[in-house]
Amino acid sequence: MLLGGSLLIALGIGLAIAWLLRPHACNARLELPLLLFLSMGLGLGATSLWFFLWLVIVGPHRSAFITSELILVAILASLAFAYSRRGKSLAPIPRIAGSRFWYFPAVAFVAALVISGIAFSRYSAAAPHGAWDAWGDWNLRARFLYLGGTHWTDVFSPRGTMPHRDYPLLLSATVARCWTYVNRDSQGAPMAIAFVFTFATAWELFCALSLLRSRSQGLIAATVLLATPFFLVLGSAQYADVPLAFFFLSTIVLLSLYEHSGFASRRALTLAGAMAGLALWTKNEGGLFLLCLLVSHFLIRLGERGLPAYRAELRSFAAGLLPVLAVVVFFKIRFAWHTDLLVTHGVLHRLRDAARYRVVLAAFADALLHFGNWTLSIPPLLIVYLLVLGVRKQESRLAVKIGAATLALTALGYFFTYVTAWVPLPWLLQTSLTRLCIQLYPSALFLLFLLARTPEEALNQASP
Amino acid sequence: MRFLHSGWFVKLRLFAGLALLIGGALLSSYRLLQQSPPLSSRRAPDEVSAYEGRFARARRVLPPHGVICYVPDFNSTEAAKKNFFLARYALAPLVVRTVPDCDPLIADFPSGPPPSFLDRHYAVREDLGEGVLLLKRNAP
Repeated sequence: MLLGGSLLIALGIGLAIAWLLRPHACNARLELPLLLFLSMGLGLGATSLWFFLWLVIVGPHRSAFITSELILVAILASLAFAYSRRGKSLAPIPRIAGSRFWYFPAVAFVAALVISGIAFSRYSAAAPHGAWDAWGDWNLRARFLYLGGTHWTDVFSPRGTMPHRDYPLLLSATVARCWTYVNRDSQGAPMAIAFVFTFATAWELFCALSLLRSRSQGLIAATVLLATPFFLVLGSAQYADVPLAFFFLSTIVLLSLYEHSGFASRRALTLAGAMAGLALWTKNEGGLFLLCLLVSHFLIRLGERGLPAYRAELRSFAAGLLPVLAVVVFFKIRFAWHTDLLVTHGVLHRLRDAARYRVVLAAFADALLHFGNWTLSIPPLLIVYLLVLGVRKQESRLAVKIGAATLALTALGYFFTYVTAWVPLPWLLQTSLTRLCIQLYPSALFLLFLLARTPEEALNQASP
Repeated sequence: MRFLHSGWFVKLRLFAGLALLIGGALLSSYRLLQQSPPLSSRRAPDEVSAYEGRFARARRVLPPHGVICYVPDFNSTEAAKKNFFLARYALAPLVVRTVPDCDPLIADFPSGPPPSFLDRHYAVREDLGEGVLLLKRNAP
């Protein structure tokens, strides 16, 4: 009951923020499903920031904290309501021509959804504390934040053996926040959070593509994602990779909505900035993603639209990013300045070692085909599917260009992280590479299906 | 070759591509369902809960926060490493040190302490059962 309440309050806060920053002021009915699923992650991220700041400023006071969130949701909801009444309408999103074609993908989607729901429940029940990194890291830190009372900062104590003290706190603070509501460290909270992020990612993919392309396109993409065994297993393992994938996807979806608004609604960019910031608050890889996004945006938009337009877009993006970034920077400086990622000793030697490149390349090639732990490898099938349906003709492809460049640069960053890593390379590749692929996978699926022609378009072309 | 561009062939190609993609995806879904552990097969608690259970008494005896030390050496074997990580999770929010240079000191031997362990260095303050001992260091 209280767990549900904590998640609903987070959703309320997320929805109010998303409503205030929603790209179109006149397409509420069409946008609402997408906003709803975006809001789930946004709300959990925003409330984790609030929980962390509350601990720092006020300390662990349960009832006062819950009251503060209720006040927060009331204020934000009032603002959103007031904004709705005064909102200026933009051009409506063009409706995609309907077709009966979506029934077949819909049946497949429902089957994938039911199976993934059952599988998720089974894996969660078998390991309620999550897999190794969940209880060894994320939930361990959550226990310090919740059970530690006024000594919650012991989680950063150099006297113990806490792993990765520099890891950001989104997931751990979210779990601890839910425990604060429930008033005990139950396993239900991390399981529910894992469920929300896993399935919100799939629904967001469906809603975004339904809005921007067609319902069938959204159904096919979401089916492919839900039918990826490792995505489900990793989600139920309570790791931070699926929440990170959610924030990567949200950032790129919002860039697409910005493009779809005819570059008129820069509020979508503000929301995208907040999502990118929350990626940084989830895992350190979010920092690399953010950097790659800023570089891609600079290179592509500056050439296309010139400096004034680029600066205006950057300002809007920064408006969403900076509040989150400020908290992350504060966290890093105050508590987590130490990092075990940046060990510069021997980096040049490792960069010159050709054997390391061969090992990492071979691992990347293998992972690309098998990271999802599919029965039949899906990436080649996706290429065949793209070849069969073809690529849609479109004048502007801002989101695809920036999104693809961002994902490619992030993957390149991962590649060189492996090449220069000081820890044993085979072990590092074996324990992390497939997880990194999952981080990028929903965004890659979104871009691929954004680029591909819909089945309706392909059929229309085939009809004389 | 004109039939390759005919309407019916394009439709056939489209349905084949779609069936291949969705069929391939659902095949993985089906296998995932087969491989996932059925809910009815759960009889004993999971590994982490079971390990936590061993420390239930220790949590009542130990202070609510602060630093405690842990033996045996967590680097000695892979199993010892995993046991240490599980113990650290079970004892949170206590900060657990792997160097036995402080009191109180928790000894964690799931299959019982080896006979030579308590020779000179440690004295047992309390046997907490299931291979968990509360120790104090002997004066050198």
